[in-house]
Amino acid sequence: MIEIKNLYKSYGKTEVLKGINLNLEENKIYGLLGRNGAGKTTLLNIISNQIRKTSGEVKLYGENVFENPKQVENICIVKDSGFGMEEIKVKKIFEAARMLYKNWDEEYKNQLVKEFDLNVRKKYNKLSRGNQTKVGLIVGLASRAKLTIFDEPSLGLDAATRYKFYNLLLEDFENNPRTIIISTHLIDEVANLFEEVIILKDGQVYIKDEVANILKKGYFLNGKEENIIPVIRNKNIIHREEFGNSIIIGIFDDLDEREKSMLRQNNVEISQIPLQKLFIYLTENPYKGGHVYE
Amino acid sequence: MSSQKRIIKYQLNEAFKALAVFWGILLLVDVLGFIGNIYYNNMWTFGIHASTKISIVGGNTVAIFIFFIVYCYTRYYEDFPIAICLSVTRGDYFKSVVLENIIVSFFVALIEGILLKIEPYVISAAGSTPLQDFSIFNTKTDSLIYIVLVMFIAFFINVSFWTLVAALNYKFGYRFWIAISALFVLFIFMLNSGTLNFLDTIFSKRWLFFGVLTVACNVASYYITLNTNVKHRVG
Repeated sequence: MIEIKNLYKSYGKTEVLKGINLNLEENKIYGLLGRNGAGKTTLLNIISNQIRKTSGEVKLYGENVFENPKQVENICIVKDSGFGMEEIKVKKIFEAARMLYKNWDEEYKNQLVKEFDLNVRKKYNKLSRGNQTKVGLIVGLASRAKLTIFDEPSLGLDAATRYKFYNLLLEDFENNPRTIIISTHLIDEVANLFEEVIILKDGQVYIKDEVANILKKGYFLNGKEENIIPVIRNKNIIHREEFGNSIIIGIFDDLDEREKSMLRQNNVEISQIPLQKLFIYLTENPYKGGHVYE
Repeated sequence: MSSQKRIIKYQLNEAFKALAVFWGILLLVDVLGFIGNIYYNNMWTFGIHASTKISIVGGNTVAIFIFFIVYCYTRYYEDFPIAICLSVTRGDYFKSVVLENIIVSFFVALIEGILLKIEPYVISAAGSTPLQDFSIFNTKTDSLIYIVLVMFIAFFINVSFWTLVAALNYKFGYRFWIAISALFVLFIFMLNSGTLNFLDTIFSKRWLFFGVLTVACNVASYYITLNTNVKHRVG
């Protein structure tokens, strides 16, 4: 559905995206993860025709996206920064969205307004941060765009509203399948939504894989160092913590049954690294995303 | 409906809402002007006048030109960010702006033209002498079609110019005003030194000059719009 080839974007002398290559399939939920400044928002803004690329290709259904009305109308981006116009009533934003999105579902919008208890008569800039986010979420959900992008969809929302949104998103995705990209820092909360995860690091795609495959490679090994090291020689170490005589080592690599049983025999506890921690360790600078015991 | 048609429909919807409010207020002011002239004839004259001749509707042109400035700025500071954020391409947006400018200019010219044609009867009935010679047309001798056409051209030139100003201002922010100030100082300097005398020749071919100006404004606005990103608040 989306094909990105050698995508570069610079702001002056600062290169934000350094040769992104990606292929995204139709009707899947993708999680876009990355540290601050990794280039997530820039990538999403380029995909949705909000800003120009420096070079490279972004194609949707085989056609270039930039300034292509036929493809741009299939995209809805919900930005944490709002709509670029603050002095506007919420109902006017919805009115504009109703007229501009070809698949807009007005009935669903009304249902969501009630569900989120939103006052549409207020001006956007008079709303709390959480309520401003709700406006974006309603636009994203009711747009029914074939590619819907949520950039930081949980900003300012309390836990109850966040979970309400995740449930609504899943429910709507089942009824109206489409491609959804969610960029967020609250990874563990939404990990169950993602079918695939894309991790950006230093303006490049560092990992793109199914969540299950990524989690399958992330292990915490807790025990004595001398019992762990022989087994994980040549493995990709992403974390290390010492607790008195024992250590916790995080690895991001394959661990076969023989290796697991050897570790267990040596009283080494094996547990899975949660996605959020895995993301932190993989993108942390000291390990540069991996370190190997020779 | 295509994306282009949807943005045109949206823009026209917004424009007609603004026009309805604008003309509602303006017509009320005109009516009050007529009443004022009848009751306070000896103290003040409302509208524009030349010796004993008066025109209240003629005074609308000042309000119309101010309306066009506000209207053009609203297009870039309000509708442009909303449209781009809601998946409209810049190209489609600009095309809708030009079409809307044409329709709005025509609509305003039509209403103003009709009012100018009716006004002399009302003023005469009230016992005053109507002003009918407006330099570029005469409401007594010229047909309604001619008057509307002349005003439409004048309004469209004006709206094209202010569209360019609004587009530049949105793109460059405060830097635009610095550039305008610098150009103004340069202009005054060149005017005093006689460097701009060649403008007399250009102005003598008025229609050609304004034709070129309108096309140049629209072409420049198009390229500026294509290269403008939506501005978001910081934080």
